[in-house]
Amino acid sequence: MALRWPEPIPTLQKEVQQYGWRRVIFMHLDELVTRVTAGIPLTEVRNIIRGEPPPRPNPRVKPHTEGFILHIKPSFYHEAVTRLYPTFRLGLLSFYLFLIETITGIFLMIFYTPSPLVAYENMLRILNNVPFGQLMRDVHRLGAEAMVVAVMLHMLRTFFTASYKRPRQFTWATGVILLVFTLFLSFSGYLLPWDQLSYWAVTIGTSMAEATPPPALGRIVNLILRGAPDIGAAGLLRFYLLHVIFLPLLLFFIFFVHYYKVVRHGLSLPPEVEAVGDDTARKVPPEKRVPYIPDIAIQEALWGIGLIAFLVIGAAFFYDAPLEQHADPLNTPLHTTAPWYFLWLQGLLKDPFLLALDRLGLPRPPSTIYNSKMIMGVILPGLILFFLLIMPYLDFNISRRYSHRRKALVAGLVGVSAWTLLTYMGTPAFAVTSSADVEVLQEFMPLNPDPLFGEGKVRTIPYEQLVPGTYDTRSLQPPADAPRLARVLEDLKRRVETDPHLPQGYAIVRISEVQAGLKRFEITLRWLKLDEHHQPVRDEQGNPVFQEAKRAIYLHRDSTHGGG
Amino acid sequence: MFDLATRRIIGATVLMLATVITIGMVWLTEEQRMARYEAIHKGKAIENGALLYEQYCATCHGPNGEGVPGKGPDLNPGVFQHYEELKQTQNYANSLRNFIKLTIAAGRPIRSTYRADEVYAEPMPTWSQDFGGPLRPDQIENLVEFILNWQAAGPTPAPTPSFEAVGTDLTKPLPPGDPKRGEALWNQEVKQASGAAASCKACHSLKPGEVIVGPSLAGIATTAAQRIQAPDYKGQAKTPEEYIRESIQQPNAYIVEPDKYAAAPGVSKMPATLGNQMSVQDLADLIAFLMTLK
Repeated sequence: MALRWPEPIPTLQKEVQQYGWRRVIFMHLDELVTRVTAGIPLTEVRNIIRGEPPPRPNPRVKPHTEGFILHIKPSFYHEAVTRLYPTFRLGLLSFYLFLIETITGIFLMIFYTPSPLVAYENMLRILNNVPFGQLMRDVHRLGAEAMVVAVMLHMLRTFFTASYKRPRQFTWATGVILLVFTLFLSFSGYLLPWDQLSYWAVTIGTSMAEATPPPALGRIVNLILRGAPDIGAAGLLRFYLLHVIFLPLLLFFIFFVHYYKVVRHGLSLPPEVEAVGDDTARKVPPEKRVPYIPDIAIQEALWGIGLIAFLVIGAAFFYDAPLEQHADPLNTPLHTTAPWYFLWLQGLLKDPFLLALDRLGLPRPPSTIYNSKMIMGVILPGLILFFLLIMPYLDFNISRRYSHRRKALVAGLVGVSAWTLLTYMGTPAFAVTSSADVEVLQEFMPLNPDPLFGEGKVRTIPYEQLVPGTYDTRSLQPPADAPRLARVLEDLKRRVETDPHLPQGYAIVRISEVQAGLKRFEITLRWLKLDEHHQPVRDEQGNPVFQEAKRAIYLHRDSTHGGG
Repeated sequence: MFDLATRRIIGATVLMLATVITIGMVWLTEEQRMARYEAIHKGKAIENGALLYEQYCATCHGPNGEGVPGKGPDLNPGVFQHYEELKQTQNYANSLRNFIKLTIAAGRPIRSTYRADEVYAEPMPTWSQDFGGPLRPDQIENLVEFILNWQAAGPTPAPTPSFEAVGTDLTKPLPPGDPKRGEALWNQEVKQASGAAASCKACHSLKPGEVIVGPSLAGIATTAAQRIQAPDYKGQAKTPEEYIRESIQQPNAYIVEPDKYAAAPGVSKMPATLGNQMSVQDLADLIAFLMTLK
């Protein structure tokens, strides 16, 4: 039944006289709902909720033609792409994460100034004095990691289901650019807290910029990126602007190009439902159509709510974004790493080629011919990126069937394995050699949280159990009421006595209380000094000479290490 | 039971409720959390300040702020007293925190009246990078937190005695010994310079007449009393305790039956480095135990 406005001049009074107030309220409500939904009247909303089929002509497609937000969305999907496989909703999740990052990021921007003088103080303020500050920061950080994961998996999914093939090559290429932007977006945000973790991770991450050939260009690239030979005030401001304006805007723009192409070509169907060489994503038979409103909309809302629940609950109970000591350009932490998604680059920079030559006992090529940093840090990653961009155009196999793509699938798996291996090689667990005494001190009490050892075993001892006194690993007698201290001392004893590089090694631990609520924990390592023939060096009296390494940290009662 | 769309709506509702409840829980505990984090970060600032103090300040002001004669005045309690003086006599109007911060950051361009009777070689230098010093503003803040903590945290605890090896010094006064702990030390294995783990009992038997490497120590208290009277004794011990002490710290001072117990002429088989592995307390306890063997 069509509703008509009364003639000639509708006034509320006349309407009520003519139709009664119940009907008038309904008419105005109907008008409001139709306008808000860009074309779906109230009666139709009721039908949708009741699960009834749409009438003809279908008012439920109106928002797709009348409204801005849905005009980019298809009004129906092929039934085959509405299940978890083949999309796994990774593209949708990436987009949602981008929105969440924007919102939480703006919240954090309110309390942040990109200057080395105050950035770290701002971080402390966000954590200590801003209600919901920690939650917002944790969601932002967790979301950033999740976005990198989602975008990477999205690319892998597209590769393995061969959705990049004709006619979607360009969509793939824009996707690769989006992946690069996502990585740089995450990476540029890494520096902003201005703590030791961020400062050195970004120092490592940008260290290859200088190796860009030729050297003159490398210097310029480095200067443009860091704003100075080393990261400082100029670098922080540049990374901040990249992070909050430049990269998000570019990413947003490329995203629309990407999504336009996705819709233009239709969501690619699972390989097995199409004939080889066919692309029927745009020719969906009526019985296979799943309307966007309400089915897909409900599904997407569920994914969005699920994602928010994951981030909020994860950030509130399970995840704390790290914040280390204030950035200190003069103090390089021992096991510095790039962010996990750039560890493969760090692995490349350790140069598997040269390591393999060493292993085989072959001589290394001179650095004038083979510049490791340039080749592994710039040229090879550049080639990999270029190959990813043009890969769909080089793939002449028209079939998307898994059974017809054995070589491609194997190549994909080899690529993933190589990436994983290089990531492992990038961690300090691989081929990082410092002297044994430094490693022991790092393991027990690193000056900065260590990627391998965390805050170190010493900081796991409860404050009360730090009983002042001197403990010698050769004659350990830890106090009985300090079980955790005893454990750590036992561990230290075992570690020092079994290290082949610390012959006859022992440790003396001194714990002293320097202020009320503040204790000093000192470890002195002593081990036999050996000459080049591995014989003990002796002094004039013939007594063996011991070498010594010492480190002290302070522990405050309130700074619950590991829990803060 | 329900169709797919309904199940999805129920799922979304449950997840949304969980999110809202979580946010509510965060909201309710946020005040306490912020207070806790403030304490944590203050604690960490004090820790950093303590390290910086040790690195930059302790040489002139003493490890515990007690001052170093001729180099720097005491800070604990000097700095707090001086501030009170300034407030009362000079109408000094700044806060204690700023007083300390300014002094560290900008140094002392002219000599202050603080400990005016003492003479120091150098005035306080500037420490902040703002004034040409080495420290960043946040490091100055950490130092201020550490120095303020001397007063804020209450009385400073007595310094912890640290391990000091007795070495070969026979004049170091010994504390009273505990024979029970001494017996434990007797049995305890200690790593030797040669790499082998060894204990006293590995070489010395407590059965009369049994020789493992060194002589049996059964009845050593009595034996020691006789030894110092012996005509060929050339050590310095006057009492049995001193004799035992000398044998441990300086085994080459007097070797009993050199053909049996000397590794080389004048060098006992007993390691000469035992004193480096013992504190005065260890030595006293061990002597107390051996003196029970009459």
